[in-house]
Amino acid sequence: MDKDYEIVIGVEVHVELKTKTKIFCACTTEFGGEPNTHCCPVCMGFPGTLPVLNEEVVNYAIQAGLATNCEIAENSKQDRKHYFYPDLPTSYQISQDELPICYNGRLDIEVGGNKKTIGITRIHIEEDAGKLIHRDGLGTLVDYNRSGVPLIEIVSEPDLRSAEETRAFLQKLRAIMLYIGVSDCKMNEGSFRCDVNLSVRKKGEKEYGTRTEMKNLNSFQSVMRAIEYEAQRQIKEIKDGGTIIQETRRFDQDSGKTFSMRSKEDAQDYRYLPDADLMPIVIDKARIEGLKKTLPDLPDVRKKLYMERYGLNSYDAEQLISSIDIADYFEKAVKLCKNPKTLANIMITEVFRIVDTDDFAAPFSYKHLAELVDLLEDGTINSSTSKKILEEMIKEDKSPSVIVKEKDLEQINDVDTLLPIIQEAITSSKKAVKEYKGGKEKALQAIIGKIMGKTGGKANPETTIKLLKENLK
Amino acid sequence: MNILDKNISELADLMDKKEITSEEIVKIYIQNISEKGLDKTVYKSLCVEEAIKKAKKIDKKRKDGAQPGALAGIPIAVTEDISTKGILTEAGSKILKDYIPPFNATIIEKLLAEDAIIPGKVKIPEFSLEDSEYSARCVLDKGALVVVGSSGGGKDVIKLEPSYGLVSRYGIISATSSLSPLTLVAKEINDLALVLDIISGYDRKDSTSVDLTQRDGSFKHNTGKAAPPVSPTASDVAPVSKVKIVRELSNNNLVEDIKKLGINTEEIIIETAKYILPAFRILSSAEFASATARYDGIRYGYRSDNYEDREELYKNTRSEGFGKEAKKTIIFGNHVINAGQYDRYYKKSQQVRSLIKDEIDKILKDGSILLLPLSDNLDENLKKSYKELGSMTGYPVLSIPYRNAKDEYIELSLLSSGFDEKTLIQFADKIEKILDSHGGGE
Repeated sequence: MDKDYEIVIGVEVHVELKTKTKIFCACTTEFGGEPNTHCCPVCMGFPGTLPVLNEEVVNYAIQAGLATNCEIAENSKQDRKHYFYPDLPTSYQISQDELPICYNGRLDIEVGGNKKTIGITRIHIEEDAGKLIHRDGLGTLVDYNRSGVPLIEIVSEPDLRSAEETRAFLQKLRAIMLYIGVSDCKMNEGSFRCDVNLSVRKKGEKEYGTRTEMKNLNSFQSVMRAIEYEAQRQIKEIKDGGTIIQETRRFDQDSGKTFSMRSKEDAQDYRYLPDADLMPIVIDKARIEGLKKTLPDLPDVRKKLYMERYGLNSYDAEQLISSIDIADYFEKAVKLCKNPKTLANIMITEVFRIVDTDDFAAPFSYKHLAELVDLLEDGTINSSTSKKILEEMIKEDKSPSVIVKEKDLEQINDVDTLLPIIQEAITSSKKAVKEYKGGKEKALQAIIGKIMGKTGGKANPETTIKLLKENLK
Repeated sequence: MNILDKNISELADLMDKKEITSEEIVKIYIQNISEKGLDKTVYKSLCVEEAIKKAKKIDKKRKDGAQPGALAGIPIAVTEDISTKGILTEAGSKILKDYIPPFNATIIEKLLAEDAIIPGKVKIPEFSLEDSEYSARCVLDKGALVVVGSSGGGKDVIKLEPSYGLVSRYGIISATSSLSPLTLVAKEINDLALVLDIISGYDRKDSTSVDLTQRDGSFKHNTGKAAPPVSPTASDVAPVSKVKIVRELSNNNLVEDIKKLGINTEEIIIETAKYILPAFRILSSAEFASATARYDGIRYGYRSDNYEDREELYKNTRSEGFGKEAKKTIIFGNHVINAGQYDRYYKKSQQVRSLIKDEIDKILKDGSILLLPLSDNLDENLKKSYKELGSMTGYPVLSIPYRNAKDEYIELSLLSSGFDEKTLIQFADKIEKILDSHGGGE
C-alpha cells in the first residue's frame, strides 16, 4: 500500500429478511424449492395484480434501524425503480428512493485496538428479484421463487479507510442482524450481500476521488481481497497519469482481480416513480417504542459485560459475541461454572474447531461444558484428558463426570501412586537424565512424556513436574 | 312482456314469482346479442356455455329453496381488461395476445358471489387509452343490463365513475395506480346503484381500497328494491344544499330547470381548470408507462419471433406488440419521469393535482354538488378537461343524459365529495325524472 494515498470506502449491504411471507404477497420466503413453486400472480407480475405491504417487513427494518442507532422516519414511501431484466417480473423493483424508513445511524468498530465510528446513511426496504438459470440446450430459464423476498439495503457513509475496517464493520453489522433475528445472514445463500464503493486520494486531500463499485463479493475474504486489489489498481492508474472511471466492477474470485462490468455512461436512468399502488408508510412512536423493547442486548453491550464481569480480554470477548447463539450459549454455561476464562478458552480453542461459527449449533449441552470446566478447575482432570472428554461428548452428549468414571480418566494427583511411576521413568531414561543434569531443562519433557504414556495422560502435570525435579536432585 | 326492457329489480321479481327462470333470461339476452350482431360489434368474446350453466345452477338453487344472490341470473358484462380466470383477457392489445388470467379480478369474484351472469367481455380500445362507446352500445342494444369496465364514452346512458378506493382495482389491467379505473354503464340508475353496492368495499388485495365500515357506517346505496319513486318534490332532494354549475359550461335553460326544483344554484369558476388536462396527461402517461413496463414478452402475452438476444427480444416484442397510442403514451410517460424531467413535469403535476383537489374541496365544503354540463357543442379540449376532474380528485362522477328543447345533447356530470355516491345517486334519480317530464330527454 502506497503511504501517500488513502483509501475511502463505503458499503451497501443487502440483507434478506426472514419473514415467513414475501414483501407484497403471501408466498413463502423459504430458500430453494423447485423452480417457480414459491410464487403467485402478484410476485410474478401478472397484469392487474397489486402489491400489499407485509407490515412485518417494516417492523424488521425498524428493528435494524434501532440496532444501528438510526432515526426512524415517521413518514416514508415506496418507489418504483425501472429497468428491464427477465428476473424482474414487473420491470420495476419496488424500493425506497427519497424517504427511507431509517436514516442517520452509526456503528462503532474496533481495529487493532483503535475505536472508530462509522456512519450509516440509510436503511430502506425493497423486494428481491428472481434468478436466471442457464441450461445447455434449454437456454436461459427464470425461477421466480426469490422474486418478492424482502430485503433491507443498508448504506454506510464513506467512513471506512481500509480492508480491515471494512471487514470489522461488515462483521459487526452481520452480528447485529443475527442478534435481532431479522435475517439468517448466510453469505453463501446470498442473504447477506455486500457491494463496496472505493476511491483513493492523496493523503490530506479534501475531495473524494472517483469511485468504483464492486459486486460479486461472496465472503468477507472476497471483500478484503477485492479492496486490496482495487485500491492498488486505482493508485497505479493515477500514478501512471490515468484517470479512474466511475463504473461497476465485478470481483473474480479465481484471479483475485476486478473487471469492468459497465461504466456510468451505460448507467440506466431508473426513472424512480412513487408507487401509488401502495399507501405511504406511517410509523408512530408507540410502534417504535414497542419494537425497541423486543431488541436483545446487542454485541457491544455483551462485549463490555464479558470484559468487565468475566475478565475476558477484548479479543476473546469479540470471538464470543460474533453470533447471538454463541453468546447465548456462553452466557448459559458461564453461570454454571467457576472460571469464565477457562470456559472462554475451551470454547474458542476447542469448540470453535468443531462447529460452524457462522451457523452455530451447540455440539453438546452447555451444562456439560460448564461441568467440564469445573472438573478442570478443581483438578479432577487435566487439560489433555479434557480434550479426550470433549471428543466423547461430541459422540454422545453425556455428563463429563460420567465419562471420567466410565473411561477412568480421572487425574492422578496422589503422590504415592505417582512416585513409583516417576522413579521407574527416571531409571529408564538415562540419556535424558544425564542431559538434564548437564543443564538442559528441555530434556525433562522426554521423561514427562514417558510418565504420561504410562498413566494414559492422567498424571497431574504440576505434581509430576514437582516430584520429578525433586527426584532428580 | 319484453324481458329485454325489464330492469334488475323487475327481473328479480319475475324470478321470485317463478314467471321466468334465469336460464330463460340468459337465453333471451344471448339470442338478442346474436340477432343484433353484438357478438361482433360490441363483445370481444362471449361466454355462452358458462353463462347458461351458471343460470341453470341458480335456477336449481332457487328450486331447492336456497336464497340466490342479489344479482341472480342478471346479465352483467365486463370490459375485456378485467381479469377473468380461464377466459381470454387481452385488454385490447396485441401485447397481451392469448393471455388467459389464472385468477379473477376482485369485482368478478364479487359479481359471481352474488350469482350475476357474465355473458361476455366488452371490447375496448387498446388499454382504454381512448374513449369508446362499446359499453354504452352494449347497454343500449341490450347486450347486458350493466357494463362494468374501463369504457366510459357514448351517449344516452347513465355512467358512474366511483370514488377512488371504493371499488377494488385488483385484476383491472388498464388501471393506473392513482387514477379512477372504472366506469359503470347502465340504462337505469337503480341498476347501476345495485351493481355498485355489490362490487364496492374494502379488498385486502388492494391497499388503496377503503374500509368504509370503519369510515362511516351509514354508507349504503339505493338497493333498487324500493318501489319506483313517485313524482319528486323539492324536499325529496334535500340532502343537496346547492348545485354549483361551472360557468364556462353553463346553459341558461338548464339553470332554470334546476331552479324549478327549488334547489339553490350558483354559477362558479374553477380557477385551476386549465391545468386539469395537462396534469392529467402527465400523471396518467407516467403511470401507464410504468404499469406496462411488465409487458416484455417473457412470461405471458405476445413475444416477437424475431430476435437474436435479450435486448432485441424486448425491443421487437414491445415495438410489435403495442399500438400507436400506447407507444406514444409510453414514450411521453417515460420522458416526464426521467431523472432530468421528473421535477419539472411529474412532480409539478402532482402539486397541481393537490391544488385542483383543494379548490374542489372548497367548492364542495358547504355540502353542495358540482354540475358539469358537458354539451356536444363544447370545445373538445374543454370537455376533456372537465371529464378528468373525477379522476384527478378521486371523487365520484355520475353522468346522466339530457337533451334540451333544441335537441342539443348534454351529458350532465355530477361530482360530489369522495364516497358520497349515495347523494349523487339519489339526486340524479330525481333530477332525471323531472328533466324527462319537462319535455327534454329521449
